[in-house]
Amino acid sequence: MTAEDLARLQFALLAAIHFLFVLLTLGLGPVVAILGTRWAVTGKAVFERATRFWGQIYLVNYALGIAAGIVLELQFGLHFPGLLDVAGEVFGAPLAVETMVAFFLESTLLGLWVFGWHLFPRWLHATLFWLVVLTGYASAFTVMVANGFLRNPVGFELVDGVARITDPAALILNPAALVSSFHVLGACLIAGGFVLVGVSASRLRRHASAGGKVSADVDEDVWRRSMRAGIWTGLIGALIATGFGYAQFSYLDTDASMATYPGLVGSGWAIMEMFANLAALAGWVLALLLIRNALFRLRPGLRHGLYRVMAVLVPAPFVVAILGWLSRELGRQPWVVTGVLRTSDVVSGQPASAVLVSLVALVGIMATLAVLDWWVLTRLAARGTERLVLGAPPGEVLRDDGAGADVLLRFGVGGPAGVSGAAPEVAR
Amino acid sequence: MSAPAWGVLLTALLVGWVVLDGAVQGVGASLLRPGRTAEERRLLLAAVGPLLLPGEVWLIAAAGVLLGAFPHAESELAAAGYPAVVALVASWAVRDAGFWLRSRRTSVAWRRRWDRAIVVSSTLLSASFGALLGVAWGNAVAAVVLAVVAVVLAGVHGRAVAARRLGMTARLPLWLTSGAVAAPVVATMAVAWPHLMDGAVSQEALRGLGIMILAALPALLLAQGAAWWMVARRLGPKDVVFF
Ligand code: HEM
Repeated sequence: MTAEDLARLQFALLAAIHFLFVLLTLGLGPVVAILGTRWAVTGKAVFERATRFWGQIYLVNYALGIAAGIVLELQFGLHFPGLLDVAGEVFGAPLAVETMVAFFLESTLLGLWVFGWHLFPRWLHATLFWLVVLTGYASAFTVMVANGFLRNPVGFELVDGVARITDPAALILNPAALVSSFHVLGACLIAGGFVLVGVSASRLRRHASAGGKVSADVDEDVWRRSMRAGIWTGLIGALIATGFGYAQFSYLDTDASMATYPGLVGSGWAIMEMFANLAALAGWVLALLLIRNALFRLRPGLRHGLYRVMAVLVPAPFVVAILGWLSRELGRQPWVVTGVLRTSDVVSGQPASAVLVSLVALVGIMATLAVLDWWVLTRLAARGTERLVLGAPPGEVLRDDGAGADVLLRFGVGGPAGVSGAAPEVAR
Repeated sequence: MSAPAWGVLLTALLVGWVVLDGAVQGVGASLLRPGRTAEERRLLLAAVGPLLLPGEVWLIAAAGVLLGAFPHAESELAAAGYPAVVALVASWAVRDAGFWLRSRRTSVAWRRRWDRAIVVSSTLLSASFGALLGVAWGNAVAAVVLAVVAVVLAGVHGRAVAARRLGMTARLPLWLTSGAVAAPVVATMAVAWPHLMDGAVSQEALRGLGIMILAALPALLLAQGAAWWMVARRLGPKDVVFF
């Protein structure tokens, strides 16, 4: 393999890993925001548990999403410097807005949401998460503006071999940015829906096999509501993905897209279409079954089977989305900026051996971390709403951890009666 | 905004990162210092925890400024400092995963392993950033010296921030250590300044981008201010212990 092949492979693998986390972040975000808002408005404990459970899943997923994103952002400078030298001004501008405004705000606000849990009034806390979702979507959109420019370059001119922005509005309203953003939004909501449905199904199955008796670890109310939320999220996502999926053919040059990798790009399109149709069909059926809770009253055998299928299908939308992404990136080849700049002209002068070392190191590390992260997520999901750490009083968390009495006192958790009254500072 | 204004912004972002994230790195690197109990480790992580998200975004934003305003400087720096950049992003990813995943399981072995990963990656993160500053000076000796300096200063600074949050010291040491971690960044920017200015994009592009950043500035400062206020408090019952 040449240095160019290795650089492209490295980028593709890291982008795929990053993208898997982003899908869930964007798909789950609105649901967590709605749950948090309902908690703030109604004060009902079931919404608090649901917010904390799904918020925790959101966070543990988000953490690796950032890490993978950082690794990705520096790939341009490392391996594709020619892209920055020629198109940096156009391609870099939306990415600069992303990192300096959208993502900067998103992460800061998320930090406020997590660590200000007991500090802010409930309404403000719920609002903070809406802002996290909003800035997260803005962040995804700016990335799509940058990527859309590569796919369908508009609003620029080449002056002495360097691209300059001539029409910022055209850059932003580029269908390869705007239409594709909605298409990706659909994909994200499908992914969020599948996770909500799959996790709820496996929790409810546990409940059913416990003989229908509500045991301590099964929070049926939370899982039924999550199932509902998931079905609607997935269905809406499937409809959005389909509509904007076909709309992408407005800017796309079908023949040119098929030129370099006809098999991969063609089957990518076919699989997306099939999956979207099946997901929408299943979504409609399940939505109908939500009427009068019919879904939860199906014959036990049937219901168990259905729950099992739901749990098994969780990875499906992620695989399809990766295929979609691949078909977009491969459909652009051999260009990095369609018709303007060839991929082979922008790669760095690093020797193949150096690129191979960084590929093994970075992809190896990211893949390992991703697998560990998903494993933790499945364990967190299996634990259900028991011992949630997000939003728990700190003393409780530390007590579960086996912290000593003097530490607990600092967090307002008393030991045996009598001790709790003593002022910690004075006592020492 | 003109190229020099963007250069000042870049400096400010890098300083913000070494001050905020530097504390997280310093505490992370010290986690397994002999004599620390499991309980103390958890408290230390809780002390700097709220700094992680609002802190690391400063370096990402700095990378965004390099990409958007100084793309030619970015590609040059990445070419010259290739191993340092790879080490920086790799250690950053491991450090973050360590913070988020460590306390998600109760097993002692699980936490022990992540603690080790946090110590190694935090140290390497400070070191590779220091080395990258050295690359901007254009010589290998500077890279080695600044790598060591960055690790030492982050350690001192992390200790000061944790001590302050755990409610035991005055504010002065914090200002001093913040100034100390910022010094190498400011010095490097001064040295690399002419080079950086040569690597800027066109005037119009800088101006357009500047308008967007300035428009967003109040929101950015408000959110960051709230985050700092949270961390300026003494660790107590109203905090969240997540890490
Ligand atoms: C009838 C349904 C669908 C059609 C017609 C369709 C069509 C397409 C086309 C033509 C592209 C390539 C765009 C380009 O090269 O610029 C694409 C990309 C993509 N698709 Fe689909 N797709 C459909 C459903 C789905 C579904 C269900 C998912 C996810 C679960 C998905 C995820 C993606 C992703 C992530 C991309 C890359 C980003 C983009 O170009 O928008 N698609 N799709």
